[in-house]
Amino acid sequence: MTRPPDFDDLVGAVDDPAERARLERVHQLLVEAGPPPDLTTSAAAKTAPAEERGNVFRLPRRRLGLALVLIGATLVAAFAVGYLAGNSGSDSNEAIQVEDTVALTGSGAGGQIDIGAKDNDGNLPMLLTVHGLRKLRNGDYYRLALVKNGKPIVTCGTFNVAGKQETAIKMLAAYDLENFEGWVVMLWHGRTRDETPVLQSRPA
Amino acid sequence: MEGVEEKADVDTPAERAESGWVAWRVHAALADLPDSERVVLELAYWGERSQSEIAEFLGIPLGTVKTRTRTGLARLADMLEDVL
Repeated sequence: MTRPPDFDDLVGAVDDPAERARLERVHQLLVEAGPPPDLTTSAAAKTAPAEERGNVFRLPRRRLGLALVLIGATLVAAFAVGYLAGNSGSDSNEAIQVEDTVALTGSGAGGQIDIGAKDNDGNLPMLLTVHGLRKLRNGDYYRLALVKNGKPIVTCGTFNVAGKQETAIKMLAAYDLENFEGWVVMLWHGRTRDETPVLQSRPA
Repeated sequence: MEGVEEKADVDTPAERAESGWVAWRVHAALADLPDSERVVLELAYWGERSQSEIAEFLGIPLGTVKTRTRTGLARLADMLEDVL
């Protein structure tokens, strides 16, 4: 656990009380949120001094386990391709006629949803492409959901990835997308039975 | 083992999900900051460095660290207005 910085030391004197309260609330959110998942305390504390040249100013990101993930990814990706081919029926090889694309962003990860035209049954074919998501342990999974009132309301599908390389998953949505604000990919933790958002679409 | 023993005094799954959502929003906003502001905040909050240490670490004036810290916090406040 890191020692949170003193707010007054950070910002010094702030004349406007409302602005001070606003900054202090952000300070509290940062303390409560803790470090981003791809930034360890030790990494931040032990990083060699960065030289301030242009925009090259990022701390090194953690790469632990990357080699193992890549090895495992090859095997699981082969399985995933087979699963998708076998699970999508006769249309598995049909390309989606993309009518809309939604970008997904996250910390160290990203993706997009290519959305096709509604089929005769009223379903929207979608191709979800993600990258940068980590392989999960047994019992955990990712969930693509539509957001309403700032919360993930309905699930469009669940999935796993073999590693941080790009992964594409075909899905269907039976919902009228106009009723929702956006998309989010949640990480379901099987052990603790709670969720963490990992990707979300930009607000319209 | 998938079983979970919930303690009475811990947050409910819904509360944990809510706090997870907010934390994710904070991290996403942080990632959108200009690098010069983001790195100062990361060092201050999770690098356990004082403002003076950050200035020395980055080789920039203390006043610049303070300015970037405050500007970064203000920018985060703008981006996180709906959760403040």
